[in-house]
Amino acid sequence: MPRALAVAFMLGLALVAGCGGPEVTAPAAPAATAPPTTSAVLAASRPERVRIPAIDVDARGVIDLGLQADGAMEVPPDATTVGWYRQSPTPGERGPAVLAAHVNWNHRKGAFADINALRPGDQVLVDRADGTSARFRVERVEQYPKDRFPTRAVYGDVAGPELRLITCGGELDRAAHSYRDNIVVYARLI
Amino acid sequence: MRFRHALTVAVLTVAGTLPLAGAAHAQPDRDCADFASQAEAQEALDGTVGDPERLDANDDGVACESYFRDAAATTTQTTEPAPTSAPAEEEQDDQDDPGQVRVLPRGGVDTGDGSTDPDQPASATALVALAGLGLLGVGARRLRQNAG
Repeated sequence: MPRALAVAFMLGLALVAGCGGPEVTAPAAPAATAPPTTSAVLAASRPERVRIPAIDVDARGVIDLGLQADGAMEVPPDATTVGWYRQSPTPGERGPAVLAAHVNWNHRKGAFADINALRPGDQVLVDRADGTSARFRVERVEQYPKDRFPTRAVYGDVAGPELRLITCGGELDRAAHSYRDNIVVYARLI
Repeated sequence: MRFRHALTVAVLTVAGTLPLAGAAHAQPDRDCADFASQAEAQEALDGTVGDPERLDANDDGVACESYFRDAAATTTQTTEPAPTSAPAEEEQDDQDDPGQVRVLPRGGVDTGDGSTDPDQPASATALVALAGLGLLGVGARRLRQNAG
């Protein structure tokens, strides 16, 4: 449905722009390459750098995140640092590796400010301490109210190596300086 | 599903005289026995700050795991023979072994203080655009009325 809307929107734009030129051709269907079989699962190794070319993110110095006293996940201490939840698999291991960063913090744009603009197929690269790089493909982007956060969907077991990027979004509760929603990007190792 | 139903029945049976589930929901302090499944208890735990109803006694982020483990054991002993394959899958969902994420964080993640609020301009623009469309609509109607 969103795709249909997007297409309608783009057609609308094309009309507004008076594009009388050649029709936009759909990108050639990818040749029947090898099906996305389960990628090789990587050994455990801490993430050190996160690159998301589609939204110009290059965050070095990934830190560990634990839990706060109330059981909620810790968050990075500044806007630009990405944190890895240390009770989750490392990126490339089987399971959902969890990375979190701010959308904004202390008057600075956050490392994950634009992850809500990611689209299926965009790539996320995670450089690891062992010198390998895990390459993930975005599957989907979801937005959830924080007070109805689907813990199992986000953190539950999965068949292969996956990645979750988490930040805030939606409406801002100005009094609480806090957003009502979380944005969660689901990605899979390729 | 059938397994969950069976579990519900079993739990209610075990619980004996407890009020019906609907009434239990309205109570401020529920116990593990008030939930039909571990998933429901988990939802209640995830939906609150802290653990006011004390559904997570060992504070590992998983609600009522021992209660439902015991209930499941009771269920298999006392209920009529149930379909054998489906329950195995269901049980895996609610397993107590640490999952791939070893400890589940509670609730959402507080990653933003709104100090630069990138969303605000976008939604403001959208609102202005909507208002503009509305005005256009009103204008068009006026024009038609004037013409007629």
